[in-house]
Amino acid sequence: MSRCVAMYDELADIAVGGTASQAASDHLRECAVCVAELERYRVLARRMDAAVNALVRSQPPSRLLQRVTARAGSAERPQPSRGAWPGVAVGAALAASVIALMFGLRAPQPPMTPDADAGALAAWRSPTSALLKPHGIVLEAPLHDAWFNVEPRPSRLRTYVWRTL
Amino acid sequence: MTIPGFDDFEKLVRENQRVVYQIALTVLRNPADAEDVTQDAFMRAFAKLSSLREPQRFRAWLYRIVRHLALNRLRASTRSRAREELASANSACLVDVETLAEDREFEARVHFEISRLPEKLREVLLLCAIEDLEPSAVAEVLGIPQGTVRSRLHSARKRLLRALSS
Repeated sequence: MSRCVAMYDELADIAVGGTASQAASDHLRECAVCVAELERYRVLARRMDAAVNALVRSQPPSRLLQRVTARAGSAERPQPSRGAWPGVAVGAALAASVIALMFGLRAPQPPMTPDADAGALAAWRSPTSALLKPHGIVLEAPLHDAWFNVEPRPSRLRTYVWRTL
Repeated sequence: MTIPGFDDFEKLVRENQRVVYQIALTVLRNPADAEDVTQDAFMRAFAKLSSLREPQRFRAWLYRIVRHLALNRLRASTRSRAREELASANSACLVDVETLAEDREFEARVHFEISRLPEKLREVLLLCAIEDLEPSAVAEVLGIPQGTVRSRLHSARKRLLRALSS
């Protein structure tokens, strides 16, 4: 029986089309168990092949041909040829931009004249009135001296400006 | 405007779509992905058709393209492993439920054992199962000698059989 177990690997080999060795042939001639086992392997191999074929031999969907030819047809449609000039123009524009950035090219300023200087100076207004405006809250009500924890004074302060930071 | 070679191309698609689709299917094991890749392979072939120097080698060239694209898709797709709904549409014969269930179970087991085979063996096994794809064509697609195809096919079938019999 142990000899039969050792034979199984070769039986599988024979079942899938391998050539039986002399020893295997001799054993099969006298061992009914191994003959049955070989037959079992062969049946299994046929089922296995059928299953593998079924796995692989699925038919492509019927729409495949139509889709491929439609895609090929649209790909084949001639595209308007733009040539190389648009690329050259874009490259030139980019190069000009780079050069302009490098040399600090700016929009041309109008030339200054003495009259224009005088006019501009006359039109100039100091921003001090806006800047000197008090920045805070003006309190109209009198403050109590108790708030400052000091002795009351004869003249009361009418207005305080608290500067807020 | 007549499209040069377009009619020829349609004929080529008609003649080769099944094998191309099945090659994609052996790699991807998903019908939708296989269909996409088949389309892409034909489009690529169409774009390069005029540059093909040896028209008699068109098929081998096309098969290599589809395999290459399918492998790329497989690598890119992380979902493909999860999809194991494989070709069971062929079993449209009249059988009782028990037999059908048993067949389905056996098929599922075969699929599982195939997935456990080493890549090199699995690829040869599935490609050789494609109808009309001779071992010489398989050798050309894979870029290996015919003798290697035969030995790998034998090893694959034997290992699969041993796995199924245990």
